[in-house]
Amino acid sequence: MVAVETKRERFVSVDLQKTEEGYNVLRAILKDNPDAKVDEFPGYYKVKHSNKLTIKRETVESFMGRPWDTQEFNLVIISYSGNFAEWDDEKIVIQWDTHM
Amino acid sequence: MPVKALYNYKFPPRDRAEVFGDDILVYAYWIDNPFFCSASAWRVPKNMKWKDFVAQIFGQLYGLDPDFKKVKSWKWYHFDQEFNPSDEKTLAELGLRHKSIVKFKPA
Amino acid sequence: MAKKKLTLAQKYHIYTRGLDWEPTYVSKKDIYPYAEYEGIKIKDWNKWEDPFRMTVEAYWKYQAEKDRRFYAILDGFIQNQGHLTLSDARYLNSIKLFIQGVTPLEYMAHRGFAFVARHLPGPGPRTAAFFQSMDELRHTQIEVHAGSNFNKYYDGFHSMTLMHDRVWYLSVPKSYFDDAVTAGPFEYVTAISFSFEYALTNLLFVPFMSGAAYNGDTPTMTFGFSAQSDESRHMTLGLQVVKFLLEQHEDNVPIIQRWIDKWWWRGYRLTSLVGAMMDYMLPKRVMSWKESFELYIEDQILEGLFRDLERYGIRPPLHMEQSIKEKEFLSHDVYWILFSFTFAAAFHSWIPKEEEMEWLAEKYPRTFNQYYRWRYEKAKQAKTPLPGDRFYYIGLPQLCQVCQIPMGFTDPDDPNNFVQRYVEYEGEIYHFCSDGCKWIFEQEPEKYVQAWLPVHEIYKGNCFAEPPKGPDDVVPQVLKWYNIQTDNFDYFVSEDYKNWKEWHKDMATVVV
Repeated sequence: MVAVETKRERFVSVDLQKTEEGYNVLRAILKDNPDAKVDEFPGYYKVKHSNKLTIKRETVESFMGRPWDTQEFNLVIISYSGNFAEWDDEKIVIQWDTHM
Repeated sequence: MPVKALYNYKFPPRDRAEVFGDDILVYAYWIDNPFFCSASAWRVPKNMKWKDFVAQIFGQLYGLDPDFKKVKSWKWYHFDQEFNPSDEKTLAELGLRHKSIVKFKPA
Repeated sequence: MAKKKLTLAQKYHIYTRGLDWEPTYVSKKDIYPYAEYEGIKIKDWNKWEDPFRMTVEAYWKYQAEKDRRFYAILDGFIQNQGHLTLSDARYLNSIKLFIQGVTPLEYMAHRGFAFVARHLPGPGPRTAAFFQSMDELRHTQIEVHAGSNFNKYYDGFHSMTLMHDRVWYLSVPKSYFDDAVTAGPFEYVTAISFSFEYALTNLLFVPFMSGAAYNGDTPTMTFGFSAQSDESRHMTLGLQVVKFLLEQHEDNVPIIQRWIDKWWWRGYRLTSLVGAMMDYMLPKRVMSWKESFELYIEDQILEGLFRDLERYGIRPPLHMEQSIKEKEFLSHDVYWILFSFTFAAAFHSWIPKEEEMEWLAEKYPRTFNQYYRWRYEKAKQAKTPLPGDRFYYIGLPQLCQVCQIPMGFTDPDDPNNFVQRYVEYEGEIYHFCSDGCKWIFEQEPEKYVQAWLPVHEIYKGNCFAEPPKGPDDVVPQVLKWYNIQTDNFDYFVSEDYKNWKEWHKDMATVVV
């Protein structure tokens, strides 16, 4: 029998494309979520937080230098872990434990 | 548990014994030797003699293992029951049936 | 006075629920004949909400932009002869498996979601399923376009749909999706949107696509990430539908749990092919199967998702613990199977190079050197009459009745043997690779007794281009029926390798 190694961590995360836009969204996330951590992989970033990630339109716009619709998030997101607790014109919130 | 459906869901098994007529499918497995990535499958006559069956699976497949020729004699199992097949008996006489598995390892 | 702009939420409500109507001259039951027979009870469809708040208008806009970006990258790659700058032509064998095995599933998913979009009585999920149906068709198209460029230069890309219907290892993905589309709409959504999209496609579309980027294949990375960005919406559909069903009626809970138990294991067995692609077929590797499994399944799914579902009375899938026990064996078992039968496959395999074996030993310190390395050493000694200086399994394998993979999954409690299970049902015997597949059979034996198992079909004479002229003509006639031409055998005796060397003969970097 071979022993099984397991170490588990609970977090919410979002995987973003490593593109110019993806990078701007990443910078906005890091600014608004100071405890978030980034892992880099070829082609994508993985941003993690122990319980919640907020993406704010205003902050993304300040990095983009142009208007940004929160639905444009569809163009940079690859995957995520958690729930979309909120998604409106001003912000997107990803966290666990939300009721519908 | 039955399949939930809007009609009576019942179909004959695709590979049932009768489809193979006088032949059966037999699987073979070399115990403790994962060099062969899974048990093998053979379509053979029910009335094939045991020695011919063994010659076929060893000759075509299991003899490819460089360690095969080091083995002088084999211990056999039908499913998980040990059994001592005699060479001249047929598969049917030895109790093999459609989709039986025979396993073997060096004695 | 200018009208105030609608908010995202208002727009979403107007363009989904606002477009639905109550029928007057036809009964709802006649319109939605599949809505009740699975036993799912719904009190109020309006409780369902799409967090993405996607409307048709926004859908066209963003999907068109995604396509424009993809085709710009594909064109650039083609114009720059990008295929010559791949890490190594061996890499493309993983993409052959993808095109043959996954792309036809995208098309089936398109059909499946069209069915769901027609037959779910709620306008919210119907709209989401309609978008997903179009997404899946888009994925099929961009994958075919990306593959068609490689088809000009490499073997294995020329006949994906025919192969998907016929070739032995492709019956694994085919039978998986056939199982899903022959279920009712609620089981289908739980199977594909929830179990597959939320839990498993991350493994396929994130670390594997990152591997494509790392090996110089930008079109594949781009279609992968472009598809997976839709996948985020699909994951949300899966999660929302499941939570919605669980909240609607307590009687739904055991039904959903049983579907999660079944579809976790079905999807996990299917995804084992990706494990082999990641650990063995990528010349430059990003992360191992085990590492991706720990990140995307153990952390995100078990620690994340399933803790979130506890309050509904849902527990982790029945055979999840077995998947965790198998994580240091799975990719090695599957590659060894693919390696053994490469004489009958539309891709090439090879003995890993020494530095690749070292990587495998480092990533799998408990298993690779102990249980797998010696097989490749032996494979160099065990010659057959076939092309390639190494071993092939000259015979046909026993297949699992449910997942249809050759029965080669190591028993972690007895690592020199494979798990073998069987049951007798109505006088016939059925064999299984695992307790998971056996359990699935026992839930619905009537479904799986009909399985089209490639090995048995060959033995019934159903897979020959023409009747074989003798024992030596059996395999050639099967290969002809599969439309496998020069696509098989070891990489180092392939046309791909010969061409790759020729195209790079002036470069010092060619891999030999």
